[in-house]
Amino acid sequence: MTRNLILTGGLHHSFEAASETLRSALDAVGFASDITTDIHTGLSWLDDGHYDLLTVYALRFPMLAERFANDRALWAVTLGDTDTRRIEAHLQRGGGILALHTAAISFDDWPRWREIVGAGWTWGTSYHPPHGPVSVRMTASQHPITRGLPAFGFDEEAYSKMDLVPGIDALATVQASVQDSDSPCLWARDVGQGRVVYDALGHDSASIDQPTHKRILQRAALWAIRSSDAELAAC
Amino acid sequence: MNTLQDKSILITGGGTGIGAGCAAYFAAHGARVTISGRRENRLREVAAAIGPACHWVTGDVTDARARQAMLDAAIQHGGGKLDVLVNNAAITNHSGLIGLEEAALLQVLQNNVAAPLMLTQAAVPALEKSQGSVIFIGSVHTRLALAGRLAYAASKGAVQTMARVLASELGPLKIRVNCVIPGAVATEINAAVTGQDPQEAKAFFYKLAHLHPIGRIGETDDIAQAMEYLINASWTTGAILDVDGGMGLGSTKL
Repeated sequence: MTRNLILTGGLHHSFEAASETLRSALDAVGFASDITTDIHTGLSWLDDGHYDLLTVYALRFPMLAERFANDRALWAVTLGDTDTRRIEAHLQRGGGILALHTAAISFDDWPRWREIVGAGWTWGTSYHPPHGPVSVRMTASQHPITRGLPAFGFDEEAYSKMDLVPGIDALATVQASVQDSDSPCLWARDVGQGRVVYDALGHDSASIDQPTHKRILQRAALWAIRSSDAELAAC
Repeated sequence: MNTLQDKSILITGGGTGIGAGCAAYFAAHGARVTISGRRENRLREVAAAIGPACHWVTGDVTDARARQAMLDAAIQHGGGKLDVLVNNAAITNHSGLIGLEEAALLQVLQNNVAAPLMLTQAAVPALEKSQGSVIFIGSVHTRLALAGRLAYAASKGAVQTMARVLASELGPLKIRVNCVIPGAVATEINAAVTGQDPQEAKAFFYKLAHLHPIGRIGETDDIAQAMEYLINASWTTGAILDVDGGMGLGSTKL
């Protein structure tokens, strides 16, 4: 069994239920997942190399703005040197990272996280239209994560105008309406010795359970741990 | 009473014509609709006009994996169930016997006969669970022998026969199977036949009103209302329901 650690929790999302849905989706392709909202303790579990995959499905950042004052005690996270070293060590061991949705907003006190994920959320610039109908289309028909998958429409948040690091090749794009432009929403890269996939979708359980999206997530997790193309094609 | 409330409905070929119109009607009456088709832009436009009640997935009904993706999407959007499968996707061909190429004939049969049959087969477990139903789309071309529509008419004849046999086979599973035969409805498939642009085709089709004893051509709502009846008619199976303003009666005035 492949081991996966899901770091979760945060504002404005049903992370508890959605993480269980994600656990179930990944269980179907051989991942045994542990879920925690305790970011620091969770990262300490990476030390012994127990986990093949680190999934960040969380909205956790220092929350310094005044509007977050009431929620800061519950959800604010500031990464320390020990935390960041553990993430770097995980990658150097060849571990995979699956970063979902709000992961691009998280850990914004650590600039390296933006490089690892491949994008960051710039407050005041990045945005998403209200949760509702979006179109998702594959832009890399030969990549093992997206090969053979159809375009689909469902209910999501279309993250737009994120700050992407140079050289991102999107595997899929999301579009809220014909008036909005397509935004990259999925990519997969080597970072150090590890592999990282970012998927901007995944607002809630229904998103994760959407059949094509579920296949993307399953394949993304398998790709991040260097499974064969044949294993990805089988799901 | 909203008889379609929370029904989970999959409509193939839902990006255009009768499929798109029925999707809008079903969603407006409370159903959770999933539409499929080959053209993403059409699906997206239809879904955007309908709103969150309509999800979509691209795919070709002749592809087994695509069929499964359609079913999976519909079951998930429908809250874990599928109540109704509308086998609407079809292609046409306007060749008579002379000049009909075998490959073109087989393509029509694959799209219009084999694909919906295999999709129905794949949907049986979900439909058995929901005690749901299947609706096929036949054609007035099986009522009126119009020269030059050979492959299409033959395929729809097969569809109508298939619907009755399936009704017999699936009845014990409490899955009902029915078929609607539309008359002239100004849809894109008809525009393709006439080789006109959609607006011209619409104008052309409205001129066909005199072929219908009721005195007008059909709107997609006419077809959707008939389907709504069939979806809820719990003792109706194997029905071939002409919804054609009387066109198939062949009583055109001399």
